[in-house]
Amino acid sequence: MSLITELPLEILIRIFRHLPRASLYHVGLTCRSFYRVYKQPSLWTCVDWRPLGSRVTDDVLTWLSCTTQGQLRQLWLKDCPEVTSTAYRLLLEGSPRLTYFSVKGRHHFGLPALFEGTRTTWPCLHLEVVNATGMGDQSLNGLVQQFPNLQHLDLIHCHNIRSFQVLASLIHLESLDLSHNGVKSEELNIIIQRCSNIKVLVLDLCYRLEDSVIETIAAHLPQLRHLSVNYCVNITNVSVLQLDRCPGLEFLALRSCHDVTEDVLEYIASATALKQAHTPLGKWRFWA
Amino acid sequence: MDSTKNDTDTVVLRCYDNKEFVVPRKVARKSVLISNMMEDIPDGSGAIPIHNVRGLVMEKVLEYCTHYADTEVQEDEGDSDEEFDVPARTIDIKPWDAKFIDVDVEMLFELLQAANFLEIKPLLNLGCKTVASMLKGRTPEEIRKQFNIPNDFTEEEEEQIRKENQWAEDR
Repeated sequence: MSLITELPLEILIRIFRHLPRASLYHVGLTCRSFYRVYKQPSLWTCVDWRPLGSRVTDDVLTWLSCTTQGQLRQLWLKDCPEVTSTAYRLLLEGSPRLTYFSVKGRHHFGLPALFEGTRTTWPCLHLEVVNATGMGDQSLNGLVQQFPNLQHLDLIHCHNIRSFQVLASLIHLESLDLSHNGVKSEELNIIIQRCSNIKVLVLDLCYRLEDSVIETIAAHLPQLRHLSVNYCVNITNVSVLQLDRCPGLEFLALRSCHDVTEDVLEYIASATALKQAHTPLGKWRFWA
Repeated sequence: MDSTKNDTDTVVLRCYDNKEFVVPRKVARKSVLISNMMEDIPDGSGAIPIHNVRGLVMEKVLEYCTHYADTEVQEDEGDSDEEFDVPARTIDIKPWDAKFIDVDVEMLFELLQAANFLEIKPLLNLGCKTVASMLKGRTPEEIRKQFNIPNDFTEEEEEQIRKENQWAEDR
Protein backbone atom coordinates (compact mmCIF):
# COMPACT_ATOMS: atom_id res chain seq x y z
CA MET A 1 0.00 0.00 0.00
CA SER A 2 1.89 3.01 -1.11
CA LEU A 3 -0.91 5.08 -2.63
CA ILE A 4 -1.97 7.98 -0.46
CA THR A 5 -5.46 7.80 -1.94
CA GLU A 6 -5.88 4.34 -0.43
CA LEU A 7 -5.56 5.56 3.15
CA PRO A 8 -8.79 5.21 5.13
CA LEU A 9 -11.13 8.20 4.94
CA GLU A 10 -10.84 8.95 8.67
CA ILE A 11 -7.05 9.31 8.35
CA LEU A 12 -7.31 11.46 5.22
CA ILE A 13 -9.72 13.78 7.03
CA ARG A 14 -7.26 14.08 9.91
CA ILE A 15 -4.48 14.96 7.43
CA PHE A 16 -6.61 17.49 5.57
CA ARG A 17 -7.55 19.23 8.81
CA HIS A 18 -3.99 20.56 8.99
CA LEU A 19 -4.20 22.31 5.63
CA PRO A 20 -5.00 25.99 5.09
CA ARG A 21 -7.89 26.86 2.76
CA ALA A 22 -6.04 27.20 -0.56
CA SER A 23 -3.89 24.11 0.02
CA LEU A 24 -6.94 22.11 0.97
CA TYR A 25 -8.58 23.14 -2.28
CA HIS A 26 -5.51 22.23 -4.34
CA VAL A 27 -5.42 18.80 -2.75
CA GLY A 28 -9.11 18.42 -3.63
CA LEU A 29 -8.29 19.27 -7.24
CA THR A 30 -5.79 16.43 -7.67
CA CYS A 31 -8.24 13.56 -8.19
CA ARG A 32 -11.79 12.39 -7.61
CA SER A 33 -11.14 10.53 -4.39
CA PHE A 34 -9.44 13.57 -2.82
CA TYR A 35 -12.26 15.79 -4.01
CA ARG A 36 -14.67 13.56 -2.10
CA VAL A 37 -12.54 14.03 1.03
CA TYR A 38 -12.39 17.80 0.41
CA LYS A 39 -16.19 17.90 0.51
CA GLN A 40 -16.52 15.93 3.76
CA PRO A 41 -18.75 17.91 6.15
CA SER A 42 -16.40 17.27 9.07
CA LEU A 43 -13.75 19.43 7.38
CA TRP A 44 -16.21 22.33 7.33
CA THR A 45 -17.59 22.49 10.86
CA CYS A 46 -15.72 25.68 11.77
CA VAL A 47 -15.34 28.10 8.89
CA ASP A 48 -13.38 31.32 9.20
CA TRP A 49 -13.96 33.19 5.97
CA ARG A 50 -12.95 36.64 7.22
CA PRO A 51 -9.90 36.66 4.92
CA LEU A 52 -12.14 36.07 1.90
CA GLY A 53 -14.02 39.33 2.41
CA SER A 54 -16.34 40.18 -0.46
CA ARG A 55 -15.47 36.99 -2.31
CA VAL A 56 -18.14 35.43 -0.11
CA THR A 57 -21.33 35.73 -2.16
CA ASP A 58 -24.70 34.00 -2.15
CA ASP A 59 -23.28 31.23 -4.34
CA VAL A 60 -20.41 30.61 -1.96
CA LEU A 61 -22.72 30.44 1.06
CA THR A 62 -24.96 28.04 -0.84
CA TRP A 63 -21.90 25.90 -1.60
CA LEU A 64 -21.17 25.89 2.14
CA SER A 65 -24.74 24.88 3.05
CA CYS A 66 -24.62 21.99 0.58
CA THR A 67 -21.16 20.85 1.67
CA THR A 68 -21.66 20.99 5.43
CA GLN A 69 -24.98 19.12 5.31
CA GLY A 70 -26.10 20.55 8.61
CA GLN A 71 -22.76 20.05 10.38
CA LEU A 72 -21.67 23.70 10.40
CA ARG A 73 -21.05 24.91 13.95
CA GLN A 74 -19.05 28.11 13.68
CA LEU A 75 -18.91 30.72 10.94
CA TRP A 76 -16.99 34.00 10.65
CA LEU A 77 -17.61 36.46 7.84
CA LYS A 78 -16.25 39.94 7.24
CA ASP A 79 -17.01 42.63 4.66
CA CYS A 80 -19.20 40.65 2.32
CA PRO A 81 -21.89 43.19 1.39
CA GLU A 82 -23.26 41.18 -1.53
CA VAL A 83 -24.70 38.40 0.59
CA THR A 84 -28.48 38.68 0.61
CA SER A 85 -30.91 37.86 3.39
CA THR A 86 -32.14 34.90 1.33
CA ALA A 87 -28.68 33.33 1.36
CA TYR A 88 -28.26 33.95 5.11
CA ARG A 89 -31.67 32.40 5.75
CA LEU A 90 -30.91 29.31 3.63
CA LEU A 91 -27.66 28.87 5.49
CA LEU A 92 -29.31 29.18 8.93
CA GLU A 93 -32.12 26.84 7.89
CA GLY A 94 -29.60 24.28 6.69
CA SER A 95 -27.36 24.59 9.76
CA PRO A 96 -29.30 23.51 12.84
CA ARG A 97 -26.04 23.10 14.78
CA LEU A 98 -24.65 26.55 14.04
CA THR A 99 -24.04 28.04 17.48
CA TYR A 100 -21.42 30.65 16.63
CA PHE A 101 -22.13 33.23 13.94
CA SER A 102 -19.99 36.32 13.40
CA VAL A 103 -20.51 38.99 10.74
CA LYS A 104 -18.31 42.05 10.64
CA GLY A 105 -18.13 45.00 8.31
CA ARG A 106 -20.18 47.77 6.81
CA HIS A 107 -23.00 47.59 4.32
CA HIS A 108 -24.33 44.19 5.24
CA PHE A 109 -27.75 44.94 3.86
CA GLY A 110 -28.60 41.26 3.85
CA LEU A 111 -28.21 41.00 7.59
CA PRO A 112 -30.78 43.60 8.74
CA ALA A 113 -33.13 42.26 6.08
CA LEU A 114 -32.66 38.78 7.52
CA PHE A 115 -33.52 39.97 11.02
CA GLU A 116 -36.56 41.86 9.81
CA GLY A 117 -37.86 39.30 7.39
CA THR A 118 -38.56 36.09 9.26
CA ARG A 119 -40.26 34.83 12.38
CA THR A 120 -38.18 31.69 12.68
CA THR A 121 -35.99 31.18 15.74
CA TRP A 122 -32.42 29.90 15.38
CA PRO A 123 -30.53 27.88 17.96
CA CYS A 124 -27.45 30.08 17.65
CA LEU A 125 -25.89 30.94 21.04
CA HIS A 126 -23.07 33.24 20.01
CA LEU A 127 -23.71 36.15 17.65
CA GLU A 128 -21.34 38.92 16.64
CA VAL A 129 -22.51 41.85 14.53
CA VAL A 130 -19.95 44.58 14.01
CA ASN A 131 -20.26 47.80 12.03
CA ALA A 132 -23.56 46.84 10.48
CA THR A 133 -24.75 50.33 9.61
CA GLY A 134 -27.95 48.92 8.15
CA MET A 135 -29.08 47.68 11.55
CA GLY A 136 -31.94 49.78 12.93
CA ASP A 137 -34.48 49.36 15.71
CA GLN A 138 -36.63 47.08 13.59
CA SER A 139 -33.75 44.74 12.80
CA LEU A 140 -32.73 44.65 16.47
CA ASN A 141 -36.28 43.66 17.39
CA GLY A 142 -36.12 40.89 14.81
CA LEU A 143 -32.72 39.76 16.06
CA VAL A 144 -33.99 39.38 19.61
CA GLN A 145 -36.96 37.34 18.42
CA GLN A 146 -34.91 35.10 16.15
CA PHE A 147 -32.08 34.42 18.57
CA PRO A 148 -33.87 34.14 21.94
CA ASN A 149 -31.30 31.79 23.47
CA LEU A 150 -28.20 33.91 22.89
CA GLN A 151 -25.51 33.53 25.52
CA HIS A 152 -23.05 35.85 23.82
CA LEU A 153 -23.92 38.95 21.84
CA ASP A 154 -21.56 41.49 20.34
CA LEU A 155 -23.39 44.40 18.76
CA ILE A 156 -20.63 46.86 18.08
CA HIS A 157 -20.84 50.21 16.33
CA CYS A 158 -24.34 49.77 14.93
CA HIS A 159 -25.09 53.45 15.17
CA ASN A 160 -28.46 53.42 13.47
CA ILE A 161 -29.99 51.57 16.39
CA ARG A 162 -31.85 54.11 18.55
CA SER A 163 -33.21 51.86 21.27
CA PHE A 164 -31.47 48.87 22.81
CA GLN A 165 -34.03 48.07 25.47
CA VAL A 166 -35.35 44.96 23.67
CA LEU A 167 -32.08 43.26 24.61
CA ALA A 168 -33.50 42.90 28.11
CA SER A 169 -35.45 39.87 26.91
CA LEU A 170 -32.22 37.95 26.18
CA ILE A 171 -32.13 36.59 29.71
CA HIS A 172 -29.60 33.85 28.93
CA LEU A 173 -26.87 36.34 28.06
CA GLU A 174 -23.54 35.68 29.75
CA SER A 175 -21.47 38.00 27.63
CA LEU A 176 -22.56 41.31 26.09
CA ASP A 177 -20.55 43.84 24.10
CA LEU A 178 -22.33 47.04 23.06
CA SER A 179 -19.22 49.09 22.42
CA HIS A 180 -19.32 52.21 20.32
CA ASN A 181 -23.06 52.73 20.50
CA GLY A 182 -25.11 55.61 21.84
CA VAL A 183 -26.96 53.30 24.22
CA LYS A 184 -28.70 55.23 27.01
CA SER A 185 -28.09 54.65 30.71
CA GLU A 186 -31.76 53.96 31.48
CA GLU A 187 -31.82 51.24 28.83
CA LEU A 188 -28.64 49.65 30.08
CA ASN A 189 -30.02 49.63 33.62
CA ILE A 190 -33.08 47.68 32.50
CA ILE A 191 -30.98 45.23 30.45
CA ILE A 192 -28.60 44.60 33.34
CA GLN A 193 -31.44 44.07 35.83
CA ARG A 194 -33.06 41.45 33.61
CA CYS A 195 -29.93 39.67 32.33
CA SER A 196 -28.38 38.79 35.66
CA ASN A 197 -26.26 35.94 34.25
CA ILE A 198 -23.89 38.38 32.57
CA LYS A 199 -20.27 37.64 33.40
CA VAL A 200 -18.58 39.64 30.68
CA LEU A 201 -19.74 43.18 29.89
CA VAL A 202 -18.01 45.50 27.44
CA LEU A 203 -19.32 49.05 26.99
CA ASP A 204 -16.31 50.87 25.58
CA LEU A 205 -17.09 54.24 23.98
CA CYS A 206 -20.70 54.24 25.16
CA TYR A 207 -20.47 57.96 25.71
CA ARG A 208 -23.91 58.30 27.35
CA LEU A 209 -23.07 55.86 30.11
CA GLU A 210 -23.35 57.33 33.62
CA ASP A 211 -22.65 56.28 37.21
CA SER A 212 -26.11 54.76 37.54
CA VAL A 213 -25.11 51.96 35.17
CA ILE A 214 -22.09 50.97 37.24
CA GLU A 215 -24.30 51.04 40.33
CA THR A 216 -26.83 48.75 38.64
CA ILE A 217 -24.00 46.42 37.60
CA ALA A 218 -22.73 46.27 41.18
CA ALA A 219 -26.22 45.53 42.49
CA HIS A 220 -27.38 43.00 39.88
CA LEU A 221 -24.39 41.19 38.39
CA PRO A 222 -22.86 39.25 41.29
CA GLN A 223 -21.17 36.86 38.84
CA LEU A 224 -19.41 39.59 36.85
CA ARG A 225 -15.83 38.69 35.87
CA HIS A 226 -14.96 41.18 33.17
CA LEU A 227 -16.02 44.81 32.88
CA SER A 228 -14.73 47.23 30.29
CA VAL A 229 -15.96 50.83 30.17
CA ASN A 230 -13.03 52.50 28.40
CA TYR A 231 -13.75 56.08 27.32
CA CYS A 232 -17.01 56.26 29.28
CA VAL A 233 -15.90 59.61 30.63
CA ASN A 234 -18.89 60.31 32.89
CA ILE A 235 -18.04 57.54 35.33
CA THR A 236 -16.75 58.60 38.75
CA ASN A 237 -15.35 57.11 41.96
CA VAL A 238 -18.83 57.15 43.50
CA SER A 239 -20.07 54.22 41.42
CA VAL A 240 -16.78 52.40 40.86
CA LEU A 241 -16.38 52.02 44.65
CA GLN A 242 -19.53 49.89 44.64
CA LEU A 243 -17.91 47.25 42.42
CA ASP A 244 -16.67 45.67 45.65
CA ARG A 245 -20.02 43.86 45.48
CA CYS A 246 -18.73 41.78 42.55
CA PRO A 247 -16.29 39.44 44.32
CA GLY A 248 -15.44 37.51 41.13
CA LEU A 249 -14.34 40.57 39.16
CA GLU A 250 -11.01 39.75 37.47
CA PHE A 251 -10.73 42.37 34.76
CA LEU A 252 -11.60 46.06 34.81
CA ALA A 253 -10.87 48.58 32.07
CA LEU A 254 -11.35 52.29 32.77
CA ARG A 255 -9.15 53.95 30.20
CA SER A 256 -9.77 57.72 30.01
CA CYS A 257 -12.30 57.61 32.85
CA HIS A 258 -10.42 60.51 34.41
CA ASP A 259 -12.78 60.98 37.34
CA VAL A 260 -11.75 57.59 38.70
CA THR A 261 -8.65 57.63 40.89
CA GLU A 262 -5.90 55.06 41.41
CA ASP A 263 -6.67 54.57 45.12
CA VAL A 264 -10.23 53.49 44.27
CA LEU A 265 -8.85 51.01 41.76
CA GLU A 266 -6.49 49.75 44.47
CA TYR A 267 -9.43 49.33 46.87
CA ILE A 268 -11.43 47.33 44.27
CA ALA A 269 -8.41 45.10 43.69
CA SER A 270 -8.26 44.37 47.42
CA ALA A 271 -12.00 43.67 47.66
CA THR A 272 -12.40 41.50 44.54
CA ALA A 273 -10.51 38.88 42.53
CA LEU A 274 -9.09 41.61 40.29
CA LYS A 275 -6.01 40.46 38.35
CA GLN A 276 -5.72 43.03 35.62
CA ALA A 277 -6.89 46.57 35.03
CA HIS A 278 -6.56 49.23 32.40
CA THR A 279 -6.14 52.45 34.38
CA PRO A 280 -7.70 55.84 33.56
CA LEU A 281 -4.25 56.95 32.39
CA GLY A 282 -4.12 54.09 29.92
CA LYS A 283 -1.61 51.94 31.78
CA TRP A 284 -1.94 48.24 32.56
CA ARG A 285 -1.95 47.14 36.21
CA PHE A 286 -1.58 43.55 37.37
CA TRP A 287 -2.24 41.98 40.76
CA ALA A 288 -0.97 38.59 41.81
CA MET B 1 -3.70 -1.86 43.15
CA ASP B 2 -0.02 -2.65 42.79
CA SER B 3 0.60 -0.61 39.69
CA THR B 4 4.34 -0.18 40.33
CA LYS B 5 4.85 -3.89 39.97
CA ASN B 6 2.77 -4.02 36.80
CA ASP B 7 4.81 -1.26 35.23
CA THR B 8 8.03 -3.23 35.56
CA ASP B 9 6.35 -6.27 34.05
CA THR B 10 6.50 -7.02 30.38
CA VAL B 11 3.96 -8.16 27.86
CA VAL B 12 4.43 -10.11 24.63
CA LEU B 13 2.97 -8.75 21.39
CA ARG B 14 2.72 -10.96 18.33
CA CYS B 15 2.35 -9.39 14.90
CA TYR B 16 0.62 -11.11 12.00
CA ASP B 17 3.93 -12.10 10.46
CA ASN B 18 4.61 -13.94 13.77
CA LYS B 19 7.29 -11.51 14.85
CA GLU B 20 7.13 -11.19 18.64
CA PHE B 21 8.10 -8.29 20.87
CA VAL B 22 8.66 -8.37 24.61
CA VAL B 23 7.62 -4.92 25.75
CA PRO B 24 7.44 -3.19 29.14
CA ARG B 25 3.81 -2.71 30.08
CA LYS B 26 4.16 1.03 30.39
CA VAL B 27 5.39 1.16 26.77
CA ALA B 28 2.55 -1.07 25.57
CA ARG B 29 0.05 1.12 27.44
CA LYS B 30 0.76 3.99 25.02
CA SER B 31 -1.62 2.12 22.74
CA VAL B 32 -5.21 2.43 23.97
CA LEU B 33 -6.08 -0.77 22.13
CA ILE B 34 -3.30 -2.85 23.70
CA SER B 35 -3.97 -1.23 27.06
CA ASN B 36 -7.58 -2.38 26.90
CA MET B 37 -6.54 -5.84 25.74
CA MET B 38 -4.09 -6.15 28.66
CA GLU B 39 -6.96 -5.46 31.04
CA ASP B 40 -9.25 -7.97 29.38
CA ILE B 41 -6.72 -10.78 28.91
CA PRO B 42 -5.56 -12.35 32.17
CA ASP B 43 -1.83 -12.36 32.96
CA GLY B 44 0.09 -15.34 31.71
CA SER B 45 -2.29 -16.20 28.90
CA GLY B 46 0.40 -15.74 26.28
CA ALA B 47 1.14 -13.22 23.58
CA ILE B 48 -1.32 -10.50 22.60
CA PRO B 49 -2.08 -10.86 18.90
CA ILE B 50 -1.75 -7.70 16.80
CA HIS B 51 -3.29 -8.81 13.53
CA ASN B 52 -3.12 -5.65 11.48
CA VAL B 53 0.52 -4.64 11.91
CA ARG B 54 3.64 -6.29 10.50
CA GLY B 55 6.81 -6.71 12.52
CA LEU B 56 8.85 -4.04 10.77
CA VAL B 57 6.19 -1.40 11.37
CA MET B 58 5.60 -2.56 14.96
CA GLU B 59 9.30 -2.10 15.65
CA LYS B 60 9.02 1.52 14.57
CA VAL B 61 5.82 2.03 16.57
CA LEU B 62 7.51 0.64 19.66
CA GLU B 63 10.47 2.97 19.16
CA TYR B 64 8.00 5.85 19.43
CA CYS B 65 6.18 4.39 22.44
CA THR B 66 9.46 3.72 24.25
CA HIS B 67 10.66 7.28 23.69
CA TYR B 68 7.43 8.65 25.15
CA ALA B 69 6.93 5.92 27.77
CA ASP B 70 7.37 8.36 30.65
CA THR B 71 5.62 11.31 29.02
CA GLU B 72 2.01 12.00 29.84
CA VAL B 73 -0.08 12.39 26.71
CA GLN B 74 -0.91 16.03 26.28
CA GLU B 75 -3.28 17.33 23.70
CA ASP B 76 -1.57 19.86 21.49
CA GLU B 77 -3.79 22.66 20.33
CA GLY B 78 -5.65 21.57 17.24
CA ASP B 79 -4.76 17.92 17.72
CA SER B 80 -8.08 17.24 19.30
CA ASP B 81 -10.67 15.74 17.01
CA GLU B 82 -13.56 17.27 18.91
CA GLU B 83 -16.06 18.58 16.42
CA PHE B 84 -16.16 21.92 18.17
CA ASP B 85 -12.54 22.72 17.63
CA VAL B 86 -11.33 25.06 14.98
CA PRO B 87 -9.24 22.92 12.61
CA ALA B 88 -5.51 23.15 13.11
CA ARG B 89 -3.96 25.34 10.44
CA THR B 90 -0.34 25.30 11.53
CA ILE B 91 2.03 22.37 11.28
CA ASP B 92 4.46 22.22 14.15
CA ILE B 93 6.67 19.13 14.64
CA LYS B 94 9.16 18.62 17.49
CA PRO B 95 12.80 17.84 16.54
CA TRP B 96 12.85 14.24 17.86
CA ASP B 97 9.52 13.57 16.17
CA ALA B 98 10.78 15.00 12.87
CA LYS B 99 13.79 12.69 12.91
CA PHE B 100 11.67 9.71 13.92
CA ILE B 101 9.10 10.27 11.16
CA ASP B 102 11.74 10.79 8.44
CA VAL B 103 10.89 7.49 6.72
CA ASP B 104 9.86 6.50 3.20
CA VAL B 105 6.29 7.12 2.15
CA GLU B 106 5.31 3.46 2.34
CA MET B 107 6.46 3.19 5.96
CA LEU B 108 4.78 6.51 6.76
CA PHE B 109 1.42 5.28 5.48
CA GLU B 110 1.78 1.99 7.33
CA LEU B 111 2.68 3.86 10.53
CA LEU B 112 -0.42 5.99 10.12
CA GLN B 113 -2.64 2.94 9.79
CA ALA B 114 -0.91 1.19 12.70
CA ALA B 115 -1.29 4.26 14.94
CA ASN B 116 -4.95 4.49 13.95
CA PHE B 117 -5.58 0.79 14.61
CA LEU B 118 -3.60 0.70 17.86
CA GLU B 119 -5.11 4.01 19.00
CA ILE B 120 -1.86 5.89 19.62
CA LYS B 121 -3.19 9.36 19.06
CA PRO B 122 0.04 11.39 19.32
CA LEU B 123 1.69 9.14 16.72
CA LEU B 124 -1.37 9.35 14.49
CA ASN B 125 -1.28 13.14 14.75
CA LEU B 126 2.43 13.21 14.01
CA GLY B 127 1.91 11.11 10.88
CA CYS B 128 -1.01 13.28 9.74
CA LYS B 129 0.96 16.49 10.25
CA THR B 130 3.85 15.00 8.31
CA VAL B 131 1.70 14.08 5.32
CA ALA B 132 -0.04 17.48 5.54
CA SER B 133 3.31 19.25 5.36
CA MET B 134 4.07 17.28 2.19
CA LEU B 135 0.82 18.53 0.64
CA LYS B 136 0.85 22.10 1.88
CA GLY B 137 1.61 24.86 -0.59
CA ARG B 138 1.76 22.53 -3.62
CA THR B 139 -0.16 22.79 -6.86
CA PRO B 140 -2.44 19.89 -7.81
CA GLU B 141 0.07 18.87 -10.50
CA GLU B 142 2.95 18.77 -7.99
CA ILE B 143 0.88 16.68 -5.61
CA ARG B 144 -0.03 14.19 -8.35
CA LYS B 145 3.60 13.84 -9.30
CA GLN B 146 4.89 13.44 -5.75
CA PHE B 147 2.32 10.83 -4.71
CA ASN B 148 1.89 9.18 -8.07
CA ILE B 149 -1.81 10.01 -8.33
CA PRO B 150 -3.43 9.85 -11.77
CA ASN B 151 -5.71 12.75 -12.66
CA ASP B 152 -9.05 10.98 -13.12
CA PHE B 153 -11.17 14.12 -13.66
CA THR B 154 -12.64 14.78 -17.06
CA GLU B 155 -11.89 18.24 -18.41
CA GLU B 156 -15.49 19.30 -17.84
CA GLU B 157 -15.45 18.06 -14.24
CA GLU B 158 -12.25 19.90 -13.49
CA GLU B 159 -13.57 23.08 -15.00
CA GLN B 160 -16.80 22.78 -13.02
CA ILE B 161 -14.89 22.31 -9.75
CA ARG B 162 -12.64 25.27 -10.49
CA LYS B 163 -15.69 27.41 -11.20
CA GLU B 164 -17.45 26.42 -7.98
CA ASN B 165 -14.36 26.91 -5.85
CA GLN B 166 -12.84 30.10 -7.25
CA TRP B 167 -13.24 31.75 -3.85
CA ALA B 168 -10.91 29.19 -2.27
CA GLU B 169 -7.81 30.38 -4.13
CA ASP B 170 -5.39 32.68 -2.33
CA ARG B 171 -5.14 36.07 -3.94
